[in-house]
Amino acid sequence: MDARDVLIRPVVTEKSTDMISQNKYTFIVDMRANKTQIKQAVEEIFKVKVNKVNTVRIRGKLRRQGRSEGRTSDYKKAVVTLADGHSIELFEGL
Amino acid sequence: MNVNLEHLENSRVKVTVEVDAAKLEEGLAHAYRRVAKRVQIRGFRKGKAPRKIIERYYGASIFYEDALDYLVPQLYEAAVEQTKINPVDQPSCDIHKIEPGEGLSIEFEVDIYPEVELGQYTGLPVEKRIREVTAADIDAELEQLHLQHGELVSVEDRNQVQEGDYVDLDFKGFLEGKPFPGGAASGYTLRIGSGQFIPGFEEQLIGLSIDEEKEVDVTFPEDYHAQELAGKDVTFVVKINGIKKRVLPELNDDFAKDLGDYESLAELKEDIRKRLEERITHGTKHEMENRLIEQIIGSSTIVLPKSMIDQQLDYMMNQFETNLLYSGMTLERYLEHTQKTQEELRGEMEPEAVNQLKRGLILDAIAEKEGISASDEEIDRKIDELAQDSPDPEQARANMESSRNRLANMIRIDKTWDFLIANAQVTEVADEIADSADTGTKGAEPVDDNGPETE
Repeated sequence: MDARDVLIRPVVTEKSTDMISQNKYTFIVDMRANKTQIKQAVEEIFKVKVNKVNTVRIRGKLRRQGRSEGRTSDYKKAVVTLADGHSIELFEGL
Repeated sequence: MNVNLEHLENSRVKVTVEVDAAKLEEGLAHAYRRVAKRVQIRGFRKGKAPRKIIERYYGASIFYEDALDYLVPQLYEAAVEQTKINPVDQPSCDIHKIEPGEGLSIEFEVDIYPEVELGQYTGLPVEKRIREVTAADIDAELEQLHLQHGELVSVEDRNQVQEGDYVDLDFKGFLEGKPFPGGAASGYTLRIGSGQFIPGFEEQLIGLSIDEEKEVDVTFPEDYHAQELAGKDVTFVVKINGIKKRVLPELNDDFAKDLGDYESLAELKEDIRKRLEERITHGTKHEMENRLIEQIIGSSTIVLPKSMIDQQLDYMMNQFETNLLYSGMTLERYLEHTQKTQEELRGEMEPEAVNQLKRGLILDAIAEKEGISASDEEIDRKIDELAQDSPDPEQARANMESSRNRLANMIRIDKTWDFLIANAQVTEVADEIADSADTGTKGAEPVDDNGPETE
């Protein structure tokens, strides 16, 4: 799996921006990617050293429109903790 | 901060202010806190989005307006202080450059107090009109008082309206059989022969008796101010409620006692004499002041900035309107009546506005040059003096204590006038004809606008 296929996009929310101060960066990643692949992908793309990766699978939310029921897509979120002294300029030129 | 001052025409200046990136950054940071509260970005509650995120969504320019709101007044104030200019108006402001990381450059343009080039103001020739208070003056004044204190008493010995009577009446006016606005009243007191109503009305009441009703036909004059009535024939249904006569009190010591703290008629007369003399003295002084200041205005050069004239005109228009309201008129009605637009009226007032401004500025300049000022003791004395005349001295004193500055200015102006008169070449002229009351008010009016008045 190519590094750029693993990382889909960064998560930009209040919570995720707050976590940057703890050197933790949050991404939406491919459902099939495992922690090792995510670690390698981040290290390759951003040229940083990753200490650990926590992942969580988010189930899509139930949605209905009139009679038809459906759900939003499931996705996998990864919180990547970088080694001290490393950082990612996440918001530059996205 | 870099400030550059440039003088333009008509007492206008251009001030260019440049500040560095750090100061601009301070403004932007300030703006961020305000902007953040109103922009909504997905993933963030209002007010919680970081500055960088807002910038990415909206561009850095979203902060400029708020940053300028914060910086401009601050910079303007600093610039005014640094250049020691004395503005009379709000500045117009032009942003030359605003570049985060580089700095900010703003250009202000504002009218300042004009330079006064004083002409000669000492040794000016002026006539002082001398006029003695005569017995006839006092009698005329006394008669006025006498008339004012007449009482309206119902007429008992006859039942018919005569010329000169005060008639209590109800009336209802009909234009082509229909009542019209303002055409009816009840319990109205009208003096027959006063000419207060439209011509013909009062005459037709003569001979009516109490409780009698009559239809009175009259024609409104062609130049009547209400257009829908001018030149129209109308019918008034009039009912007389009562007939009264003015009965004058006897002119004796009792009359004097009724008027106040007088023991006798002679004392009252003496007081009238004093008042008249005072009025003449004031009148003469005001007249001399006017003559003097006119000469000084003529020989001085002042270029008034437009905004100053506009402000003065605003003030005068306001005053004018208030005066109209006091006499039961509105500005709209007045304009309609005189067939003028507001602009025309303003235009007519302009020379007077210019004149008043010049007077003020010249007096100020002279006071400055001659080092005339009001000491604390003088202000205290003035407060004592004014408080005594007021119905509630304590309250008045408290009010005035809080406006010492205005009082100081008033005293300063007064002293300047005194200085001008003391340094003028005064020739005394006997004056027999002029009416003392007239000189009093004529001279007083424009002068009052110069110094602040006490309430």
